[in-house]
Amino acid sequence: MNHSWSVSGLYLEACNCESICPCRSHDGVPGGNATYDRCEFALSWKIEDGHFGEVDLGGRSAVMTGWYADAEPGVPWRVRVFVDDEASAEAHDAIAAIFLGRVGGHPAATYAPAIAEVLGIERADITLTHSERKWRIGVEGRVEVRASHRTEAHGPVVCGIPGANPGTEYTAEQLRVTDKPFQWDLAGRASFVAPFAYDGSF
Amino acid sequence: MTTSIRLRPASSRLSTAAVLLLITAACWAYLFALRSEMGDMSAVADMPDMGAVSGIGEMETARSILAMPMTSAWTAGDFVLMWTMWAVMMAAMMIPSASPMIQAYSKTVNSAATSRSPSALSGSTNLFVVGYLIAWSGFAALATTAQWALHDATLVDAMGTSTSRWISGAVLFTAGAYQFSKIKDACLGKCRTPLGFLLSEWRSGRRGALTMGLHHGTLCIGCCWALMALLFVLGVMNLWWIALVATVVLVEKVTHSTMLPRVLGVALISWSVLIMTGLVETGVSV
Repeated sequence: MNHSWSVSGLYLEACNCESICPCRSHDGVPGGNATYDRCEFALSWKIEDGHFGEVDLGGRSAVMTGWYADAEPGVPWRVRVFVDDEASAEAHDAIAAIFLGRVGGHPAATYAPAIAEVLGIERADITLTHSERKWRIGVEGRVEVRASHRTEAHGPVVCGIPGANPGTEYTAEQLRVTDKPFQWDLAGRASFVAPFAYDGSF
Repeated sequence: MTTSIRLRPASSRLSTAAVLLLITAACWAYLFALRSEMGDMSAVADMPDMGAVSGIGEMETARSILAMPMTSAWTAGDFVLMWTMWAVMMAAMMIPSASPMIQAYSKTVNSAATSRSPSALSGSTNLFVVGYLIAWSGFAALATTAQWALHDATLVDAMGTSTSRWISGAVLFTAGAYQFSKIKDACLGKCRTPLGFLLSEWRSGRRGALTMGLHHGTLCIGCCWALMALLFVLGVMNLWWIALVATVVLVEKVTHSTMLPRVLGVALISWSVLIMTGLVETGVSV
């Protein structure tokens, strides 16, 4: 059993930090701690092209909600993963495994080892709207993120999750997660869009 | 930009697959040794007068080396030896089937380890395998207890093979009917998709490795206990049947066929009917 896999597409996220999110590298200055010591986030990936072995992952989406506190030793993340309910059983497992960093690649090398607890992996009705000045992450009944105002930046803004490609910083007019124990409803906080491309073999 | 993670550093360490192959080979070697020892003994036991006259000394000698309780009531030592035999047999039969899961676990744990704390996770795969084998050793203890009880009731012969067509029929029928049960489907479904298991049952750290191994072993037992019970019909020490049952378990798992478990179920139920109606002999010999 040796599957090569790759996924690429567009990454969109929002968190409770002030924009520009201080965890991002901005104009060559490395990122640091969260604005309010605790990061509460909703991340999303829209896979344009992708496969896991023979399984096609093109067109599928995933959302990850969660939080971490800078003061906690090891800064462990608690997360929940939502996978596009149109994904086949094989695609569902592959997508969750990829973004949770269980099958190597960029996620396993960067953010995923911080994930200390996975509260759930669920199928959900996910809507990711990607259009300039109207960005949206929607998970039916659980997550609603809307961003349309670009934040002025002085140089390239880079987030470690999608990778080294610079992206665009936005200010989200809404970041609402109603998914116990994750519950926050905020306005005017950081949002970010960037292309991502991960690959690996498992 | 993407980073391709080398899942395991190329080194002189044996790959997980090679280690599993070696363990499996060692278990089979033990079974072969035990079988050939017992072949001699059962030849003696099969000769009614010889057992009483010249066979005893030879039997006692053999018993002290590899040992298999041939006659009379079992001692505690017999129980331990039979339990060992069952546990080794389960390892021999199940490690090949479990190897995709074990390798998937190994890759996952190593990909996490290379990026964070390489030392903290070393040995996790071994613990996973240990957990897996502990689960099957638990099953082996139950099987040994069953064999002990059947032996005491003289419903199985010295080789652990059923001498009663009703026992044989009941075991075959149960195994056949179990193929259609929801719990079999559920366990088989989980056993068939290593990635799904890794996602839904993930526990981190060394303790987590042991727990996950135990859990996966328990799922495999949920899948295969009834097929293993068939050995009481086919012959607990019949290596051909042991190999065949192990192959069936493996094929059922890797083919992802929904038909195969049903076909097997129908075949087993039919066989049980043939045995209980006396159309086929109880004793199976290959």
